[in-house]
Amino acid sequence: MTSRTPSAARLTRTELRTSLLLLMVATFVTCIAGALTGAVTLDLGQVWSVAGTDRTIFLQVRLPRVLLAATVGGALAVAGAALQPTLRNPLASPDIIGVSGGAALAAVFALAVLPSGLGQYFVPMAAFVGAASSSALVYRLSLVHGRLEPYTQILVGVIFNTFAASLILLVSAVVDMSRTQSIVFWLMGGIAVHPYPVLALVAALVGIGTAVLVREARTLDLLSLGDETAEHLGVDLGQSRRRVFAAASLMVGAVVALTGVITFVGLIVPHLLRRILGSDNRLLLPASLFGGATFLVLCDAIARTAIRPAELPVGAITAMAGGPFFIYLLRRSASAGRDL
Amino acid sequence: MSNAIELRAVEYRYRSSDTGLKGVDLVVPTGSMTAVIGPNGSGKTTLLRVLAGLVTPSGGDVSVCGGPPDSARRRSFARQVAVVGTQSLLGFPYTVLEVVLMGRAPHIEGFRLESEADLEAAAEAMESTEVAALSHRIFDTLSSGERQRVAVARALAQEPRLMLLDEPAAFLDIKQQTVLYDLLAALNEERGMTVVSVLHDLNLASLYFDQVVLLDQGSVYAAGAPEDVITYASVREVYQTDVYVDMNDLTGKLNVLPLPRSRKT
Repeated sequence: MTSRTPSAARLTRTELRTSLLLLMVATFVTCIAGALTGAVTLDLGQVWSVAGTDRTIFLQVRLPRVLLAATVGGALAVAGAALQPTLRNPLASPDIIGVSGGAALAAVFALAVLPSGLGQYFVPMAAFVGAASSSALVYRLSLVHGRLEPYTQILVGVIFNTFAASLILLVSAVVDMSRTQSIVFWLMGGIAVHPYPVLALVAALVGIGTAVLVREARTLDLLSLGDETAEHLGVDLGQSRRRVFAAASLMVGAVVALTGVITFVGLIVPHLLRRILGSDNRLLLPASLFGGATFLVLCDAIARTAIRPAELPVGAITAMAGGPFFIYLLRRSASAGRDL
Repeated sequence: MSNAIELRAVEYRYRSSDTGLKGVDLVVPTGSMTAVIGPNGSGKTTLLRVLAGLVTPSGGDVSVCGGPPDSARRRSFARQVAVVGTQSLLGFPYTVLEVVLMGRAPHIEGFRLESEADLEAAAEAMESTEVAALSHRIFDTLSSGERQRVAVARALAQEPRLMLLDEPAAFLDIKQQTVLYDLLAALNEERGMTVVSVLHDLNLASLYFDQVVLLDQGSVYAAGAPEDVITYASVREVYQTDVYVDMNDLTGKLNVLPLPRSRKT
């Protein structure tokens, strides 16, 4: 790709509106289709018209699950899209800020020590606390002379995640087998059914984070030019980086607490959308919200139906879809010249 | 206001080396073209960073466009002062037009898209730097010379009163060097835009600039008209190399020719 494919060389109002509208419709249609698909295929007419089993399954089981998948996918994709220009690295994913590593470590610790009945309530809480404290730690360790340095931040994030992963292995090695299995399942990442109030809380946190990031969209474009040029164009680097870091941590922490670590969504979705829609973050960030939602609802539908009636962890599906696809994109970019 | 830049006894010291600025006094009148020259490590880029507000000096007073270039007025500063530094790759597929439009950011509030006036400013900047034909191209696929011209276009789109440039001609061929400095001279002439440029080419410094500041080890060795500053003696002392300096009959400006160290006389 040596030039931008859409008609204009810049983001126009029409392109902004049309793209977002199409993505919204895609998300809506995928959510409805996703909620009708599963071990039992539901009939939309039945669900709509009469109170019965179909309706109960739809409202109590499928819909909350699909809504969670949409929220989680959207949150991971927006966080990834915002962190990539902030860290000036198109390969940065939300995991890089240490949120998932810390969440996983705390959740695994909770799964290892808590009586099994309490896990349902306390594991998400432990994971959220772990996410918040680990991102605060990574933030603190990434400050150089009081400023956030992208390269230091990436290195600290990678090292922190490796450290967390080895501690997780250590904990898994010393607990009994039944707990090891629940640990492995949590680590693979999965979308479960949660009560509507919990979904509303997570959606609110994701909404707040998204609003903060979208407000910073233009700043994110300027950050791509490099720290000094961004400052020359009026960006307050410290303030912008702190906002992006805090908003991304909040969103990713909230979703990871409920679903465990789901990889590749924050990497693949912004990357793909950037190739189609261009890099302007005023479009890319809101587009990633809907793109990520659609992508994860699809992956979850596959996870529920591929080996029905059994289910696969959705994290395994995103990794299986994402890994090879990402390698393909990178190879294609490499052969077309430097053009991520 | 008669002076775009006033520096008094400005000090700046890097943590890891003894280079920096030592008691720099400098006045740049509004509407002038000032070249900053000097050997590697003499403090040229540091001086430019102080003027751009990227680093805060440890001592002395700095006034740029009527005030200190500090973070408190970063956005309003960006509407008056544009900076062209070294161009690195972006890593994200932005088009040339998108990059130039980023120069309008200090004039646009928040999330809003660019207005017709912003697009006109960008188009004009791209015409004058001869990059209009590249507007659809992805910035990272351009040659280094083309990227440099796009950076100048982005700075022009800011519609600044003062432009600070660090080695803007480094990657440009001789035609494009002329295009760039002709353009800066025209903007200086027609709009009264003040230009301060760091450069290594002493011939270009003499050809286009009315004031030359020669830095040596962080201090101002000489400042004034090119023919007063760029002399055989000053260049030999500061750069510690032999040169031939002469007046060119065609341009009426200096000709500076470096002489090989192994020269047999």
